[in-house]
Amino acid sequence: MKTWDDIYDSSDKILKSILEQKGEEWQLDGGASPDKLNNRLQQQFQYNPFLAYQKLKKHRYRRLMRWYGMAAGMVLIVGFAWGWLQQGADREQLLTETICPGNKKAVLSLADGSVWYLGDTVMTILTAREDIRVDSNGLSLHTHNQTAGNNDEVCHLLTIPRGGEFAMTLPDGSRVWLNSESELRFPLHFAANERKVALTGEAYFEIEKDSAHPFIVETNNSEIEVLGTDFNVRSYRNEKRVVTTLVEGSVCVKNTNNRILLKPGEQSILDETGRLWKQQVEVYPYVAWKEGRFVFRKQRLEDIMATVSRWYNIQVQFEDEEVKDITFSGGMMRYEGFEVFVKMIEAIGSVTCDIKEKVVFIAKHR
Amino acid sequence: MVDREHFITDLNKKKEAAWLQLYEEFYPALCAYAAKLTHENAGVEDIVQECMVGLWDSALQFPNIKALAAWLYKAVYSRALNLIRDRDNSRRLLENYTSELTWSEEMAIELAIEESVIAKLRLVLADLSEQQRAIMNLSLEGYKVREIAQTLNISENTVKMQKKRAYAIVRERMGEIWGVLLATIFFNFF
Repeated sequence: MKTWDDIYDSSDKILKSILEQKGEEWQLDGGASPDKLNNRLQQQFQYNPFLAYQKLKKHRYRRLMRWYGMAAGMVLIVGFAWGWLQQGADREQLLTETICPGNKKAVLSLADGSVWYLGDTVMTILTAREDIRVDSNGLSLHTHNQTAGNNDEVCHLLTIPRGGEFAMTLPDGSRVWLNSESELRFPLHFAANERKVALTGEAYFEIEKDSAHPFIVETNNSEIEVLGTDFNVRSYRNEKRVVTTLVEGSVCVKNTNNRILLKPGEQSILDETGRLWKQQVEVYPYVAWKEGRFVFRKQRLEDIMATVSRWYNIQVQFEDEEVKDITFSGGMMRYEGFEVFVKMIEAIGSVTCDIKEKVVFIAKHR
Repeated sequence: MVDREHFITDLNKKKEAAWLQLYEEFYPALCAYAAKLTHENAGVEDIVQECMVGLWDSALQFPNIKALAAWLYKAVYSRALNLIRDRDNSRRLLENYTSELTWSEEMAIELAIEESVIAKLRLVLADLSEQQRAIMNLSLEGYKVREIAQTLNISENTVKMQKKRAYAIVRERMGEIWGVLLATIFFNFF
């Protein structure tokens, strides 16, 4: 048996044999295929040793400070001076430092209780039943064995924080784009008779056609049943309504006492009283977020700010009630800085925005 | 790999350059190792950093790099076990708790060796230029010279030339024996 002391020399030998192509001496999750090696390399690349070293230096610095209280006092004074000078910095510079557009990020909680922070880094999570891969296309599942565990109801949970977005591919090949502050619960394997996921927040679905296995999205208090189609669902808890917008195909929205069939270009709304109705809409503004755009058509500022604040992860405070009801039409790229948005609404809406840290105060222009 | 004895004595004396090198060589591998052990990537950097800080604050002296590697991997292992134990205790209270992670010391050592191999491969690649690294990465994925040239939009000759230069750099860093060994991989892959 090998001991801890053997790690360094053994790894030398194994690396040599890999480089000599004697793969059989080396078992790495079932073989040192180049692909596996590259995966493992990517996993190590996601940890930055230089940043970590800077942190150690800070620790050393703190220890020094304990001995040299005088020096600490000096730093304090310098710190005050710096802070005082910083106050003069202009608004735009401060803005870009504290308020940034959202980016690709999500938290994946697996059924076994482990938690993974996902972002731009390519990684592979190996579990007993499947490989979970994260790459530029988002998250995807690769099951080891199709038949195994068909009857279990184990669910994974993908959570997108405020200021985040993420895409994923479900086991049947359907694609889901998740917007900020959303949550999708999905199973390892879909059950034999239906494909069911649960959503809070906003998501865009591109469902693979499979009439034998209807696809069902569960939201707070309704179910959306589809066969194969593209549609957007918005069901934030604090908005207290479920808005389903159909782009292609057909879907059926139902709650306990009602059901509505949607055709492309139609939108269903379910409000908190349980009332369910549909209307004709221009689809694009409702799905533009997936293409990286904000598009608003005569929308109230309060509703616009609800959407925008999720993406930039900010709080909004209205100083005048009437400002909430000003309506706007317009569009911009989501990945632009927040200052672009502020300039836009200040220019066309006769409002002023005052930004303190991550809180935006909106008042009537005087 | 170059100047191993100096590295260890400087590390024992807590000299900056040696500690930066320590991080460069071991930090990513130890993090990946902790992630595999705990089966999650949340908090692994804290585990590794705690070990490093512990080492910095201690008066430990290592005779050679073998002992250093042994100490580091073992320290991360025992901290990871603590984390698993605490986490599992709190999760047992929740209903959806489905699996339990256990690692024998033997398995943990095998895993440490794997991670150490990857770390050394990473260091070999780190010394190359961006284009050389791209070429090397593609060849690790099993692509042929012609395919690499097409993917990177460069001529086949450039691929071959960059391959030779990369080989020279690796030989310089790893020493003569390594160079000979690497010649095989380069000529097999390309």
